[in-house]
Amino acid sequence: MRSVEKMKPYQRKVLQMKSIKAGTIGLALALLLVSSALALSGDEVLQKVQEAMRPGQDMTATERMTITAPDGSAEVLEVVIYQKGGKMLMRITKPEEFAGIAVLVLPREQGGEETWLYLPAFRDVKQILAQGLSEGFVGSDFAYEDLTLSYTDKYDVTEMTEEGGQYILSLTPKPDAGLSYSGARMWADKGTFLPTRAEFSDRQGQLFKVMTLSEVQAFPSTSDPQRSYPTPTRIEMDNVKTGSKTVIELLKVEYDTGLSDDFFTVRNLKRGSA
Amino acid sequence: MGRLTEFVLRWRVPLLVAVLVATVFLGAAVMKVKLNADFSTYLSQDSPLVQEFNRVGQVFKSNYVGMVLIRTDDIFTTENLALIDRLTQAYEGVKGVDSVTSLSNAVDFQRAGGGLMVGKLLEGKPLPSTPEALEKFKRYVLSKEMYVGALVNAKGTTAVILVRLGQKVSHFKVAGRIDRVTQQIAPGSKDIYYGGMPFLIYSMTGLIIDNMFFLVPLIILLLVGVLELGFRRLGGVLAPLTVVLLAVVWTVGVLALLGRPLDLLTGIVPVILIAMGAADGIHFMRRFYEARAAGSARREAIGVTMREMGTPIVFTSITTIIGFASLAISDFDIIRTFGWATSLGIFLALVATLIVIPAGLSFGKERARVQSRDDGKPRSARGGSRVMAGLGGLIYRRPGGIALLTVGLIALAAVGIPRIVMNVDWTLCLAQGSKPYLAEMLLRREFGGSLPLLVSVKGDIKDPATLETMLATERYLDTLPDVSEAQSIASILAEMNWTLNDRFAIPANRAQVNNLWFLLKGQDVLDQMVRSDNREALVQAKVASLGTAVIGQVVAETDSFLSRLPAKLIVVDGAQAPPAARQALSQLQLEQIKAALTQDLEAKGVSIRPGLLEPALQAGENWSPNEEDYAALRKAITGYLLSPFSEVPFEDQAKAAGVADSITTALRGQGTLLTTSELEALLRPQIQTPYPQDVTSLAESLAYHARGFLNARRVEFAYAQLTKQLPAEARSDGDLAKKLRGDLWGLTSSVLALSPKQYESLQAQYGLVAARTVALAAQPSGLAPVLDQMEKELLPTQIESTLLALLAIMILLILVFHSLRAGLLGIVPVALTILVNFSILGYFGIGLDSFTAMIASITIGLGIDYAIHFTHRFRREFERSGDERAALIKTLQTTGVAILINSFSVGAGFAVLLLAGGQHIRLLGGLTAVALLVSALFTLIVLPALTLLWKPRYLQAPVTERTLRPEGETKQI
Repeated sequence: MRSVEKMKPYQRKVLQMKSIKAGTIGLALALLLVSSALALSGDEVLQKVQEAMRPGQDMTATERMTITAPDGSAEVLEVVIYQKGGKMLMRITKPEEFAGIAVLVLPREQGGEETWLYLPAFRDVKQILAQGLSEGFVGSDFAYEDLTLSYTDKYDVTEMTEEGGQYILSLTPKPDAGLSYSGARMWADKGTFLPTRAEFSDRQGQLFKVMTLSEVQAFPSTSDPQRSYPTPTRIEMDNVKTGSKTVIELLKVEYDTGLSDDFFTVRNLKRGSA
Repeated sequence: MGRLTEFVLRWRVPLLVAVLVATVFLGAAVMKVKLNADFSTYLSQDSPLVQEFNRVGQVFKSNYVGMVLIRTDDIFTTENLALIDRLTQAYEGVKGVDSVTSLSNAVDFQRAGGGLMVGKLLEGKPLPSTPEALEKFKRYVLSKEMYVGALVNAKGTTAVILVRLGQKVSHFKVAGRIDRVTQQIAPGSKDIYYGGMPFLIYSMTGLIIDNMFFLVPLIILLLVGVLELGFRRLGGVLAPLTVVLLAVVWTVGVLALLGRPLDLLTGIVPVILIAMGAADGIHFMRRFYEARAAGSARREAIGVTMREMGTPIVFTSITTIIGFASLAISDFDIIRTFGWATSLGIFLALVATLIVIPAGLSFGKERARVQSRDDGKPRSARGGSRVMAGLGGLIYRRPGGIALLTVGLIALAAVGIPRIVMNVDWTLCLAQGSKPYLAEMLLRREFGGSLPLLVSVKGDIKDPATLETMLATERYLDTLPDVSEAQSIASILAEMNWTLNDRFAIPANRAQVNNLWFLLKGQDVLDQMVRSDNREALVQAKVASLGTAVIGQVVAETDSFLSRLPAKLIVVDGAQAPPAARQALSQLQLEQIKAALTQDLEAKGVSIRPGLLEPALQAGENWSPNEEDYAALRKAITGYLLSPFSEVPFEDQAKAAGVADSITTALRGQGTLLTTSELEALLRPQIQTPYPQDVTSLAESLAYHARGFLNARRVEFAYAQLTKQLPAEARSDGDLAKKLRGDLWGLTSSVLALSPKQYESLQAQYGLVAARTVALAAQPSGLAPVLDQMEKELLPTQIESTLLALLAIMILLILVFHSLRAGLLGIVPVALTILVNFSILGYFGIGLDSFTAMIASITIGLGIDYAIHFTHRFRREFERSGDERAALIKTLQTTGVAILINSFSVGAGFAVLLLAGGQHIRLLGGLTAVALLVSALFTLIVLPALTLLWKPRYLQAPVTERTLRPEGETKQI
């Protein structure tokens, strides 16, 4: 091959174009390789979803839960929720008949969670065992296990697809999770990783409940106001089998207020507030 | 009749075409007729009790609970538990099913591993698979009263899956779906049975269909056989057969057009119409053939028959209609509908007889028939003529003797009638030996029965005083023989209190009720027992029998108990009462506890001698802690302070023990329990904490738990005294022990609910002040009181119905025969038949119920025909011959034979019902068949005897040349 200097102008031009072409293809291939390496696995997406649902260092929120029975009658509860990592303390403030009842969820070192219930009239704290966690919380369509927003400990991702800017995850309960569902599908926004929809199947594999999350708003961090966390302020759970529905509305939320680990103790369950 | 004959013969073609069109139209409607075996719709929907039944069923979804029973050698095997689980899940997915409860998903609350589990027995967990796990599960389940007798029998061999159906669904369809699902999961299983109302409806519907498709062809065959035997002519078979088939199609078609479904009784209307509707046709054809044999031309014979038989046929139809129409005053909708449907059928059969038969007969050869040797009588009847002649002669010679025999028969009946039993079992609706019947027997034997007894309690359900009343009601119901499995939200809360706090008692205050209620929220059991606004709740129990006497007794006793409950309770706190009142309050409290203990012991069959309970109660009342109790309390307080639950953390055991010691010392010195503020004052100097409110909180907890601890010691002490008096088997009964301890827990409370009378008396004496007033109202509900009321009203209603029918018919007869004596005599045979029928019930122990009581009305309607025909013919023959004996013999030989043929054919038709599924229908069929034959015999023997003795006007008139009429000539009535 002739050296470049000895090439005629048109030959130099062709070589130049070939080089550009090769370079472009090479860059594209390189980018592809890199993006493949950077693409998230299903479990990673699920992890991110969980993190998106529990942003910041800690969260304090006041929520209204409206439970609508199939006949249209409705009950309303108000709860205060404190969250830090995998820990959660929830205290019912309304209605008066249940005010003071509190639930504490603590992650276990070996995996899984332990759940404690405080009944103020009996001055007693009892641990709720795993099998009881699949029961509806105060008769709502959210089971105790739904409220903990803990997914990676409970589900394996068996399939993931992408569509319309969302990840679609097919989830199967882990063998020891003790869930009342036989499976679930979850749609999560690719940008925020916040779930937008989840469908849960019963033990027969029939569609059981549908959860939709909407009205996402950004709430600032108390310790770093420059930082904000997108949060769905409306979560709706529809029980397809019974026709009942439960809606959780976020009335107030504060992030990063500096809740201590001591706050999330059985001892603190008996206290009135943070 | 002459005009009608003319009309029919002139317009025979258009009339027959009209009949054909009507038949096609109504026949098409028949194809769309629906079936209804739903018992609850058989009742009078106007009755307040029925309306209450429907209301309670709607609110609590309690009316339609089906039971799937699985019978095995041992339910507690992995295989059988898996079957129950699979069936439960499958039934939950069946359209029309509201909820399913079984050993798989029954609500379970238990302490396990230091924690609390409120969940399901098996659902969501792996099934026990090792012998140890299965044995453990079996012991656990069989130790719980809320499961034994409700979801599994005491031996653990039969399990029940309770399936609640929705209100506005077709229970027949849903029951069918459940059956199909069962067949898919457990194909061909012989050990699965269905009980309860929805499945009863399913079986009954099948029964209605079976009855119709089996019995109707059978009775048609029977009728054809009888007609052939009686007439030996095609016309004699076809004419009556056509009439009854038309009547059946038209009647069922009308029912379909009116939207009335066929039920258990109207389902047999076709059979009854075929049996009865042929009678007029038989009489018509008999007279027609007589006229033809006498030489009349076809049309002439039709005219003669219409003139002579038309009026009696009309009147006998009217009387039969009256008999069935009298059922219209029944309280049972099913019986009312049966009454008017059958009346309609008879009317349509009459129309068919007077139009279709003469129109049809008018076609054919007009030439006069040569008189044959047999005078139109079948050959088989010639022998019968001789017998009748002999009978006639005997009656003529010995009317007085026959009358005396009749008196003797009445006396015999009078002995049998008082033996009639009112206790009839509604299970007789089922075919004995059928699977539904076996299911019902299984439910009675192993699960306390299938008939729910409900008590609706209205008031503030969450108030402990209301809950105590409900628990007391459960206790009372459990003491009643034939009643078991009493349960309500009260005992469920007591059970939860037992699980959480070791006391089977209603929570002490509303806050505690609310806390336990929280754990039940969302569970089906709450929806099934408490109305959504918490202002009404049900106490449920089961009655072991569907027998009316048992139901009546249970309802009466429940009514009596509930009527003694006050309409309001005045709650007082003895601790706040004037000292002088405390003794009286304490005494009342001990009486209440004693009553509770007595009932709990009685429910377990433990009889106690008077004075046995008082020493234990007094000992419990007077108990005070000793050194051992204080030492145990100190240890418990120390343990609490060192636990993660303590509001203030204690890491130093010695410090915790020191605080505990100070508390027990103070208690010992004070002699009474410390209040929260007293405890707080004791704790504050000993505890250093940056959170002063924690000390307050700790004091509250310690006050509560110390009180609870010492109360438990008091109860144990009293219980120990009590058990010394009890027999060994009572002491070893864990469930009884739990309940007795729960009753004794009353010793620890100073709060008491008084009746207004008690309160007023104490207020007047001691100036007592009420803490609060609780209004409540309790009444029985459910199917049991409905059935009881229906059966109570049954006898008076039926007597009323029977007398009404007899009166109406007597008046008719008087008008027809222009003779009071003839009218009175006319009802004698049916009146005697009714007496004989009831005496059969008494002598053979057949119960009197809604079905067997109907026989009186049916007998009047059918039996009176015989008297009308007989009297009419006898009178005419006497007018012809002037000779009583000859007239009697002639009547017996002609109309008498027809009456016997009729009684056999109609009786045979009813006897076909002996092959029906459902014992009630069989009894109805068999007894009616006997009644018809008896009525015929009374008509042929007793009626003429009494007529000859008493001589109505037509027999008294002097016989002259003018009144004597030659054979064949008739007199218009």
